[in-house]
Amino acid sequence: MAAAGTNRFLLRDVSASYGRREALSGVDLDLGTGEVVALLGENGSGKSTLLKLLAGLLPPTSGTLTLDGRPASDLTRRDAARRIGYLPQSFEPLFPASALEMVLLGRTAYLGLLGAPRAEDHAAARRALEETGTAAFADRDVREMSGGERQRVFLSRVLAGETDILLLDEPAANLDPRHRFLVVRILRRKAASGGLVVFSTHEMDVAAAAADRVVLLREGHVVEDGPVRETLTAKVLTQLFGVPAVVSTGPSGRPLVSLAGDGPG
Amino acid sequence: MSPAAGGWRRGLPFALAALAAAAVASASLLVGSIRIPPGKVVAALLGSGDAPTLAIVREIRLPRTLLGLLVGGALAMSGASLQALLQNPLADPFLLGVSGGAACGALVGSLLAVSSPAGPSVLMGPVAAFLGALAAIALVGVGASVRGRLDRNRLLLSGVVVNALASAILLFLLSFGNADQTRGFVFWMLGSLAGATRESVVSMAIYATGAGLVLLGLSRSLDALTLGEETAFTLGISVERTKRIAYVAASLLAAAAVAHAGIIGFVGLLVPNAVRLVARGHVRVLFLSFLTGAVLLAASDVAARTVFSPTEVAVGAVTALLGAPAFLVLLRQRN
Repeated sequence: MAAAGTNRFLLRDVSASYGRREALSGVDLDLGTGEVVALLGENGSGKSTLLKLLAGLLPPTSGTLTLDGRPASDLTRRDAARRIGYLPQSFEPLFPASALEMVLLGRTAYLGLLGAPRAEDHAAARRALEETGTAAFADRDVREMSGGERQRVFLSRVLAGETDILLLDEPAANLDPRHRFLVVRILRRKAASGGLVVFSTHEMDVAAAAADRVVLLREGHVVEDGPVRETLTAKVLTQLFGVPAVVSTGPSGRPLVSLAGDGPG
Repeated sequence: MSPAAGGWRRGLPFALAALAAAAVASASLLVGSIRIPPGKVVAALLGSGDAPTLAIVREIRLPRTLLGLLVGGALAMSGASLQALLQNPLADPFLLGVSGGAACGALVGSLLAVSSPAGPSVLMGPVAAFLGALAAIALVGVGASVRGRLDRNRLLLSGVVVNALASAILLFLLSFGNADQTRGFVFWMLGSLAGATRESVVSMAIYATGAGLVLLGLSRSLDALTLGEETAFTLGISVERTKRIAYVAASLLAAAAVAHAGIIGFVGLLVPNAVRLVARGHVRVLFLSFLTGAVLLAASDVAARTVFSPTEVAVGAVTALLGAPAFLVLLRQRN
């Protein structure tokens, strides 16, 4: 695991667009190691775009994006893959593959040209499957799994890369409450061991339980950015989502959020 | 599973495919319109026997058998690569119009070469076919892309259109040939191994080996591409470079197959889909596809020669009879 002070993304006045449509504009962020950062916002607010930008999938159209003080685009593809793990929002597997085989693909950046996965790659894949509770169906075809099982296998694929930085687009989607909180524990553990986790979610309970810090996006702009206790407030959430929110403090000191969509705000 | 048991299970499909290839090759050497006892066939292969037997076995049956194995292998490997590249299990050089484009290229090339004093060279046929294949794949890409991205669902439709265009061009060009040329071209277009010669075997072997090795070298990248292009990129793969090289290599395989044996459909579709059920990882998928495609085409050719003997049917018709129903099954599986 990297020493403190590394794994720091610095965004200065960053904009990004798909063709002519601007998806992010004027974003300033400083994301550092040991943090779990939740990105919240409505559909189309720029959460996925921000994650793609950090993952190097989308170049900034203006502004600067650095990782540890150097332009993020300076990293070779392989070095980037060994440092940054990325989970896309949705993926439909088309070819037969067992969970273990899919998770082993998370080790691609460590393999030679034709090299088969070595013992350490298998060990990393097994650990990742154990972590998400999917080791029991390591040999099952991913195409025949439920949405929630698949989601955990895909998360294992990212974890198997053993990267310091995790960029996860809705890692808790399709999951039942038990597994949502399994994901929360995984994210917390990653940050506790010195990693940086940035994830998007629509589940306020997941954001409240996992995040140290919350970044709220609206129409491509960062509208709030701060510690979870100060940012996940009833007023802010009600404004952001347009539904009434009630926030109290849980026994751990973290916010407890409920969105009540049944009445006017 | 113990490593030894795993090795046994992983090796079994390869051993079976290799055995099947040997069996089909033997059958292909033994059967034909002229009966030759097995002992004499073996003797002729080793270089002894009377002149007619030697000629039939060494100049007709052996090249035909080898060309069938190579063309079948090339088509299957091309299909397996295109499926991974396009993230579409229904991709196939025939269905995508690549074979049609290659046929147009080959036909134009040979019409030009026939009228030139130098005459066609057996190695140049695939080059003309390759240019046609690349043109076809570019057209398919244009038809199937929406806002700069390849739309998987439009891909097959686009292939249908390019196929239709290729057929039209072929028919148009055929009108300019003389009667003899036209008859030969039509039989070649339907897919036939009857024109196999030593030279065509050598030429096909060169193209299949070259393009096949390039694709095997890209197998890790193809593995990652099955997770989608964005994920493959974040796994450290140079996605655009991989796609460019693999498209060229897969087109070259299909083009060489078309130049030497005409349009043979469905081998590239069926074989990789079957192979993916027992083999994982593109090193294995590509290699096993080659072996299995070789078996399928050589076996289809034995059937084409013997079932309606003495009439010989086009081998392309045999593979289409097998392939079209299987294509429907695959289409229905996919919702």
